[in-house]
Amino acid sequence: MPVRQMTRRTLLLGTGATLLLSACGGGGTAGSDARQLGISAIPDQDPELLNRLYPAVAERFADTTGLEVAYRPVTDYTAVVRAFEIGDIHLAWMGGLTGVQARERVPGATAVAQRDIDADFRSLFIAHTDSGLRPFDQVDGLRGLAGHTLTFGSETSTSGRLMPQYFMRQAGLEPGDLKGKPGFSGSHDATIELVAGGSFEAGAVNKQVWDATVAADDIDLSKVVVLWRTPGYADYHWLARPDLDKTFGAGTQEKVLDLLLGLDRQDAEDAELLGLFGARSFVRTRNSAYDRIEDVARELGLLR
Amino acid sequence: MTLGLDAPPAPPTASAPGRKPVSGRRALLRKLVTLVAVAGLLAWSVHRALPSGSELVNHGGLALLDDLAATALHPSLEADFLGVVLDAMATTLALALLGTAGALVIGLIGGLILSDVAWAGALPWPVRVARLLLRGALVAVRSVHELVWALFFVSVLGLDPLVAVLALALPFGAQSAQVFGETFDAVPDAPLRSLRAAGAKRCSALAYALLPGTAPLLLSYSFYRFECALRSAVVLGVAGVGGLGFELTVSLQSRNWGEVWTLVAALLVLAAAVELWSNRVRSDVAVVTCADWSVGQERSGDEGRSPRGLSRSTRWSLALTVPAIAVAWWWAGLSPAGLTSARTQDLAGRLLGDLWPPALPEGGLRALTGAALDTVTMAVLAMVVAVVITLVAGPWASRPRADRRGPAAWGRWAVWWTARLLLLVLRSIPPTVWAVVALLGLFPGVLPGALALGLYTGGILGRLVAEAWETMNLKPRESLRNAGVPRVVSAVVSVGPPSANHLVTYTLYRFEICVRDTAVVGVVGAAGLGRLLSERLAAFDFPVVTSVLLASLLVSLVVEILGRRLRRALRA
Repeated sequence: MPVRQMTRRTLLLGTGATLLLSACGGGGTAGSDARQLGISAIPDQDPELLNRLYPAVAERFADTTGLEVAYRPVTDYTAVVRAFEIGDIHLAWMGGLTGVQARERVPGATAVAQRDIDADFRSLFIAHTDSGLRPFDQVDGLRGLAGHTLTFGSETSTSGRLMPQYFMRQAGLEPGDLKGKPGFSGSHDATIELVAGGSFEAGAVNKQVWDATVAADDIDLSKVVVLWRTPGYADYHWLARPDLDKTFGAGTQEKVLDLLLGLDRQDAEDAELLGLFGARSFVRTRNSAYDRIEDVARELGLLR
Repeated sequence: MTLGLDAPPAPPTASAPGRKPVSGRRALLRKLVTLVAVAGLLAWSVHRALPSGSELVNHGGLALLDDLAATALHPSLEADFLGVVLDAMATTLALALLGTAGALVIGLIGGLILSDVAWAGALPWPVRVARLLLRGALVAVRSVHELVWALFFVSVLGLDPLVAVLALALPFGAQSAQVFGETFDAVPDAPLRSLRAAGAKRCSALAYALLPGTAPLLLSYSFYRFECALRSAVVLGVAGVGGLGFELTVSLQSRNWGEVWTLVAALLVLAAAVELWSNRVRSDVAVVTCADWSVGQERSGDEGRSPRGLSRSTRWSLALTVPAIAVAWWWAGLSPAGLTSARTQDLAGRLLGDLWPPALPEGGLRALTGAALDTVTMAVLAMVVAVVITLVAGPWASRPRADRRGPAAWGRWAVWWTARLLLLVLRSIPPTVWAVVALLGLFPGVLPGALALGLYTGGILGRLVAEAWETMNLKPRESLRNAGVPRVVSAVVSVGPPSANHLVTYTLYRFEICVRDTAVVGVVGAAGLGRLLSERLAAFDFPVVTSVLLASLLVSLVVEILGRRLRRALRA
């Protein structure tokens, strides 16, 4: 009996040791290097486009800072804020609302740069031509959407949900006045596709994405009509964690900012990057530029 | 996954000693009351899901469904993408394996603590209090869906494979602990007592007296859990956990239907392989089928399924378990370091601080109750869909008797394969994906959620019921027929009642799980508490998240208790 027990015990010990060893082996490859600068962006468009754009951005950031930079793709807006909060990513391309949310979660985070178009950004209300909806030029015209179906973009999109809903409220149109509940397509490309395909009669979409889609001839303009362009508001920006310089060396934030501000349309490589962003240049911005977004977000219950 | 495992009920057809005698009239009355209550619930649910005057079907979206169907025969077969798919399959498998392993460790330890037999004799009061607390904690842990666990772990651990493993291991472990505890208590404790009396130490006595008797059951259950874990690992993709679920989410977002179909095919291959393997091991080691596990029922008097000793494939499966876990560990890049890091502690503390104290959502208690009622409605309607699927596909999905020959038998086998495949497709595609598809044609609300959950649950329920029907005792039918009763009459009279009984038992059991699963379709935009939860998570409104979780816990408990009473009333 004692002999037999010994062998069993040995077997168990052996099993445990194997597990432990494999754990150590696996541990080496797991987790990210603490010195790796993580960047990410809200997935506001087709993953395909994002996967062309942000790895290129990561490469440029790496060149200018001399650091290892990794783009971490995510599937929804909230996940970017979450990853920013816990420090998996240090620099993020945020929307107006997600940026405000992230600053609320990470006090001291700063909005460093935005595109030339972001200080006066616009949303468009678009509609399928069969819906019978016609363009209008006053905010009150939104009341005409009553009784029609409508889709927003992502739930926490600034140009695809927050500001459109804000203007709808200004016009006296509540989501309950629409036909059925409003949809959340997830991204601007999806909104355009859903409206063009006739799934929803109307949609709220980011003007820059719309312009890019039209320019790329990706849409049948006989099917979709632009109803109204909203007044301007501040939107997208690069947001930096407060510990960026501490973790990656003084001047890291400045170097990234210089790179962004120095992007030049005359340079072929820069032009391609700017083209993917749908911008002519990047400019400085401040946290306070998004105060209005913050107020609207609180009003609509998207910020606590 | 399995929420409603309670004490093993006696086999429906057997007489139940020790139960109070009930008069026939009383039993009939009880059944009538139950029927009326169920009918009332159905009517209420339909009324709630289809409010008059509001639009439900989005006719415009039906064209997209056409697009989706049209690409079914043209899945994406690019080499690059196929590489991604293979990678994702391995990741999903690895995460499911690791999650199951974790759940079994929790289950064994928890099960031993919860079982009476392991303690032997009177318990000191601190142990009793601790056990009570543990029992309560386990109920709370398993009432929160894996996906919700994953969403919380992601906020603390980031995109770490630990998120998936923990999100699977915790609720599954809590469930396993309960089942294992009951299993330990169900075996005769004489060997254990004699060993203890002979002076054996407690641990060795437990190992030698308890494990041999329960090992086949534990093994069978473990493989059943693994099947569930695989399905759940795919669902977790919505939370950003890598693998097939994540790839599906991305492909759906870019509406790349070709890729979606490739991923669905990969999912089916993986699920079918795991189920075949698990079926084989389970039929080998134990008298219990998958159907029995889900309601904690042990089949007795079933000669066909007596243990035949371990076949070679089972022995190999067991021998490979440890290396497989090691490989999965390496492949997933799992590292427990994330659990203890200062950042994790910091963030966990912060999250807990944010969650407390709870606050009511906008609209107050009314909004919360409304969401809870929507959740129940969605689950009720989902069960209607699932039962219809079961009634239509279930009879064909029961394995034909092996003794038949000839072309008719071949036809029957072909139908059997088709029905099984249909059920496999329904349950292997995660409810999140069904919901995304349903939302193409229906406006957000209770209906698309119910449809998505119903399709998914139908795949599971159909299989459970079909398997239970397969093992039904046919002797009464033979006896009737031998006694000269016409074929049809003898079949209806002898097979009808027990079949209906199986259907009702499993439907009630799946209903309890369905209530919990509503969280999943809520996250992708349907309705109910799950929708409120994801909406408030997106707004980082944690106090309201807490009250939504508490409301879900309450709904789960009420449904579980009512379900148990209903099952008892129907059995009486």
